[in-house]
Amino acid sequence: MTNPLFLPTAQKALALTVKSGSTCTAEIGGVSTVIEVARDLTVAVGDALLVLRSGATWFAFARYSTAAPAAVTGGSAPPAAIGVRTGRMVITPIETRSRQGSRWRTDTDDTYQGQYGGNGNHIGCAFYGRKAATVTGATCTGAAIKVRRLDKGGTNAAQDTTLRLVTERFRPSGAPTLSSTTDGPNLRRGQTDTYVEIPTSWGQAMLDGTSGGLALYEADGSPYVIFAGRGSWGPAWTLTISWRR
Amino acid sequence: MIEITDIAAASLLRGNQRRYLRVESWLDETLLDDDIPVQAGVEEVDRSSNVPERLTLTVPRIAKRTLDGIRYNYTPGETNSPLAANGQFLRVLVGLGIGNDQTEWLTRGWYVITESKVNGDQINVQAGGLLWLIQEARLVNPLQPSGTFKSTIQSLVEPALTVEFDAVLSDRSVPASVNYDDDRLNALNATLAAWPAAAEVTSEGFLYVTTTTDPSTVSLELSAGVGGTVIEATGTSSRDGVYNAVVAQGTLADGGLVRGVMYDTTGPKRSGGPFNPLPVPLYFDSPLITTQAQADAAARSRLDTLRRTTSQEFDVEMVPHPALQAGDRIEVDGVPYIVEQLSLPLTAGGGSMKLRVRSL
Repeated sequence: MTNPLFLPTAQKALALTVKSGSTCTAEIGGVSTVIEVARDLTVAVGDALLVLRSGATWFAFARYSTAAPAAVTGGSAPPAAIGVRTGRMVITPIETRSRQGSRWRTDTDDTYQGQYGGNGNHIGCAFYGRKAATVTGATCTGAAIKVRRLDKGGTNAAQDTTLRLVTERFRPSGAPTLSSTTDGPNLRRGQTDTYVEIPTSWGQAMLDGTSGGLALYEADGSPYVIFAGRGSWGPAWTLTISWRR
Repeated sequence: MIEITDIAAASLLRGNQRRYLRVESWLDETLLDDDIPVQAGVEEVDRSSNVPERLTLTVPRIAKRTLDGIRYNYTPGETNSPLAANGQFLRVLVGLGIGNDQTEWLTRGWYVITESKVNGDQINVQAGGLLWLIQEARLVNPLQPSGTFKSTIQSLVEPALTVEFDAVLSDRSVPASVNYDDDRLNALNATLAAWPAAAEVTSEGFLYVTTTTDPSTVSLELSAGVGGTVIEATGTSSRDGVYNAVVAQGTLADGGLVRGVMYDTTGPKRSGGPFNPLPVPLYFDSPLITTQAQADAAARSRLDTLRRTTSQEFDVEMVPHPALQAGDRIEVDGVPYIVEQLSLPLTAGGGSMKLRVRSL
């Protein structure tokens, strides 16, 4: 902070603690701040101080007044800093892909569940890459996905699906590692659901980096359904995780 | 470089590449539009800017919406209009035709809409990279970090941006009595400079903090020639803002001062060379620097960054390559360069892609 002559201007502060080591805590502009104290300056709680800023550090260089005032008056203290951070992260899959039998399909990036005509059972996967683990250490408070069942494949009526948690964050060359199971979206052909809740523990596994994908999979190959991948619908399989720390 | 498959990379080398564009609009977690009809658009990136990424789109005022098939008025009048600047984000994807009716989609990035203006039957949309959120959100209260460099950076940018740290970075404690006043983006940059580290917003939409060294992997090899890539030296040369030495100053635990000094000893503007027989130094001071080694590392890192202003620059004009990003290392006829600026047309008929690269 400078005056029109570009000379530093001292600010007033109120000492909240005595000097310990080279610092004390003082109230500057209503905010409790750790400041460096001049070596030859003794500070008592309640002392009125003059402080100067050098770069990103405050320095107390003098006490003023004949004795410690009762308080620094005037103005209102700003709200306390927020102690808990919360956020909502939108994570679009970096790849959607179906594994049929022992191979990954390259003719489509749509996500299939089940088997059609004895051609091999599908695992329809969405891989989320690195983004979820960018808040490692946070607590998941909710998670949901957006899905669309394509207007092709299987019967028109709504069909049960099974969602699996996938360990890998990127598509492996071999089969994906499937872990937990929950009921998946139940949609008729052509239907979109922009809020399919998934277990909070799954969201937590994504944040922790121990899981990185989701999949549709029925071990018995039925029912057969096709859900949109990234190519058919851009927001397909978008995952939203709410978190706090 | 945005990761693409070998098939997509091969398709980019073919003359008649098929490209598609998809722009989504999001407000928080709500999808407002999954395919905004874009008439023209360009993505521009300049690594020297506070917010490197800029997006400019031209959208018809009234057009059929793919989300529900109705004719929709894109005028940004309502709170949740897809093109309003009330927190709406645009996700830009470029599709590459890879044969057999297959398209590989690359996410170019996430942008926050900064302005939308109706201009006759069109709407002109301006959007910026996600660091825009950090730049405009000055600190309400001074920030006094009490943890480490990592937690300080998280405190500065979360939840607007989440952060991934390169595993090679070594975290350390932030000294007591550090106090960031009001400029959040300056505080972020000051923390990065003192660490030293560099940060970029990835196409997936998070902040990636890594070392300041240039990449060693070549992302793209080009050949200059008639009808293909054109490369020529830029016509600009200036002494303004050029430094060939850095003095990084910090404070030891006992209160003593510590200084790290590094000189640029190579290139046309090297210290002690014809540019000026005396060094032209840049000073910076940070309480986050508390040892001689940290001061030396910060000075060296800052000097590496400054070389971007002293290296010789060239303009490159080439066929659009939607996977290329600023900061990538490319080679033209075997000569290595770093991409400092790029301009990528997003629609067919948008012309060629333009790069400004610097020599290594």
